[in-house]
Amino acid sequence: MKHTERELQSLKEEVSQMWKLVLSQLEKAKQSYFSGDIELAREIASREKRVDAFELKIDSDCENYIALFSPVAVDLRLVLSLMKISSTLERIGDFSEGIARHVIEEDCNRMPPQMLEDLQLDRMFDMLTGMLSDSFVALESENTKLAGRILAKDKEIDAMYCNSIALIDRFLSENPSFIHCGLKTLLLIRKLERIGDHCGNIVEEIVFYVDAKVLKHGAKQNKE
Amino acid sequence: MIEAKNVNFYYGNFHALKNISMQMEANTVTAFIGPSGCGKSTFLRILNRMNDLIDDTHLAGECLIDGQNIYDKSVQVDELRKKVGMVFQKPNPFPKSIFENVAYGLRVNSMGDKSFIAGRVEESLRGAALWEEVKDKLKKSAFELSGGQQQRLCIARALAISPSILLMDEPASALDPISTSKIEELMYALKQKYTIVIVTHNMQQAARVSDKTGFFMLGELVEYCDTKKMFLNPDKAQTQNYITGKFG
Ligand SMILES: Nc1ncnc2c1ncn2[C@@H]1O[C@H](COP(=O)(O)OP(=O)(O)OP(=O)(O)O)[C@@H](O)[C@H]1O
Ligand SMILES: [Mg+2]
Repeated sequence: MKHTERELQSLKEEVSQMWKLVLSQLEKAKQSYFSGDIELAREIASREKRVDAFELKIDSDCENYIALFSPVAVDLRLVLSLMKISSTLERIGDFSEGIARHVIEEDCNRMPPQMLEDLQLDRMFDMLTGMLSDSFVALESENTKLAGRILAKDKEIDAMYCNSIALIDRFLSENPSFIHCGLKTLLLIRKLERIGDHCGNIVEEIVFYVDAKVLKHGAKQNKE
Repeated sequence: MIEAKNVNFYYGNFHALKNISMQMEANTVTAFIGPSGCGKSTFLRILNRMNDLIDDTHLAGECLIDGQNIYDKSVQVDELRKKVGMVFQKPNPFPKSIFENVAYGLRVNSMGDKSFIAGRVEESLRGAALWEEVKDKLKKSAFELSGGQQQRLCIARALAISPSILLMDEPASALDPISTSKIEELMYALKQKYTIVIVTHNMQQAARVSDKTGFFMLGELVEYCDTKKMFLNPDKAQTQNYITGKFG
């Protein structure tokens, strides 16, 4: 492998590392939310600094790569998409930390279990970690076949978010003592919805990188 | 390590290099860029005393290699050039066979026996990305090679005597992109063992292969810094204008 290729490879590797970190932040956020584990939530909050550091490092490595190697075509698309993916991952990291803070603050009584079930929070979390890991695989394998499915999940999450507004609205009008807690839960769900959007953005970046190449080589996978 | 201290150089009255001071670390690639006629080749030639061959020239200042002033009376120029190899801007093969061109330096310096020389010639030709093209015609005259092949032959010739410093003046100007990329990979690999100084008009090439870059203009070293810095955020406006092509 040429040294210029190795540089690009190590850039991609850095983004993969960041991806794994952010994925684990999100998984732990779910865990701490459902278990009320404050220690775990604190750990997430303190690991957020590592996510930020990744973003800064990747930014500067991408700048250097562009300045030194003047990438074109597929290499250029890859660097550009890696840069955007890393800043999107950083946002997802922020939201995961936000969820952890929600656990740490602990200033609201929990919503009744039945309500949590109706809101399908569990399922939302799982869909998000699924989207994040599927998009990781899509980049690693340079395969966008899963793109459509990931983007469809984002739509589903948007719908769940709208639905939860209605649910919480109804619940609070019947149980006004829960108002503080209900609003905080809604804010939490809003965070999940934003994470879904960000996962969608990542997929779009991967399609930008991979599919332009596919088009160039005869549009084999274009029907998907 | 190579160190220039207040180097001034004159062709007759013409002040070609003005107060150049810089250090080049061992095992790095340093690139010189700058407009035509700014003194890059002149400075490169100072590093192995090639300018001594030109009449009516004058050098002031010091040039040290591993701490020793190479213009000191005690320095043997032949020994210096064994240590500091050079590839010129224009390919200059000797009127000899391909094999003999590469073997030349080994023979005049009585370095090794027949089989050592044969091995070294092959190794050097491979290093210069030329072996596959010439392995069946090593006895043919070097002048039967194309310009780009001659350039690589000269690189092989310089490699053969294993210098510790390699000066390359536009080594890839006559090469196609594939050979260029081979030479660039070669430089990247060679810096494990050698200190390399290269002059190039190809800014991307300087960026790709070098650790440090010096920008010359009108005989002055305008800026000298890490290549990353040079191509991301140079200090001087002149440098920025030159590398972005906004001059004039
Ligand atoms: N043998 C010489 N006698 C007189 N002047 C010379 C000689 N060689 C070079 N010069 C002058 O010295 C200046 C620097 O020349 P030099 O060859 O070092 O430039 P350069 O930066 O290598 O340019 P290029 O990029 O065109 O190779 C030029 O103005 C040139 O005319
Ligand atoms: Mg020159």
